[in-house]
Amino acid sequence: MNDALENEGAALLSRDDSDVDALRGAILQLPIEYREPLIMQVLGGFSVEEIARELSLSASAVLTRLFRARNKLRTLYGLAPAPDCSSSEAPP
Amino acid sequence: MNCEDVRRQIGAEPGVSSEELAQHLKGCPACAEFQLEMVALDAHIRRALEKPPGIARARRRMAAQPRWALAASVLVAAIATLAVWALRTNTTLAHEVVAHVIAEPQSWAAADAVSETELNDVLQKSGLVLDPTPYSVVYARSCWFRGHFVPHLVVRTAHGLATVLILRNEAVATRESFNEDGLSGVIVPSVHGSIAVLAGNSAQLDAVAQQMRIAVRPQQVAK
Repeated sequence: MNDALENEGAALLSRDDSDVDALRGAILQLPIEYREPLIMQVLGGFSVEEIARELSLSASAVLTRLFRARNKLRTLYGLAPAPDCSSSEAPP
Repeated sequence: MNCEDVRRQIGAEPGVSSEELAQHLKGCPACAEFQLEMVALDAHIRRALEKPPGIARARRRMAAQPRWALAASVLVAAIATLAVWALRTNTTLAHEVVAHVIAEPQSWAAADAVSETELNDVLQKSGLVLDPTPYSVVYARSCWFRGHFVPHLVVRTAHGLATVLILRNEAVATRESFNEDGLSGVIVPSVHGSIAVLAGNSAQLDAVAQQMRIAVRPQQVAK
């Protein structure tokens, strides 16, 4: 991860601890199929391929779930969700 | 690669870059900003899952204060500490329960029910058994908490996941509720110590606590 990019982004999205607490609550309330790959990727450092292997999913299904998980959390931050045009996930 | 493709890629892997993506971002300020937001959001997610409760906040507050304010706040804190001394145990217990749960975020990623053997092993370490409940247990660990091994369970309910700590060595006089670091919780007295239940929302707490109170019992020792 590029630190400069992260710092620039953090300045754009400056939040205090209560927001972080709210975010934690929101992560807990994500459906398990979204929460699980997100935690594996962000906290565990798993690659998409590794997550796919662990969860017996295709890589594109994992990508879709990660995208939707972040999109749900984006709305919590008052940011417009990105368009999600895929109606279903690819099969494993 | 159009804007939609780019945003889907960034939304799935904000930190990953490719030549094609970089090319697009150079000519598209809106997508470049979207990437910055997503990278920042990831940093917040990481922070939310890693941050020990209260510590960062206290440190920042102290650093921002002038010396006289610091002295005054120390005095106020000392008086407040004395004033709440009688309530100290339970307040600290709730805080420590939250801190423990936050320090084990991998418990929230659990999906599959743990085996009966695994669950029994965890309970056995604390000399307990669990009768059937309406919930499936998706995470079970024996955790060191306040000098004892404590069953740390995550159960799946109709409202989502709930964390349960069975605190055989912690007595509380009455039901206590708390809301800290994005987690709602209750600690209820039980015949065998107390039971703490935490979740992202408060809808299910008492129901889970009640079920657990009925289902948890000590192991019978063979004579």
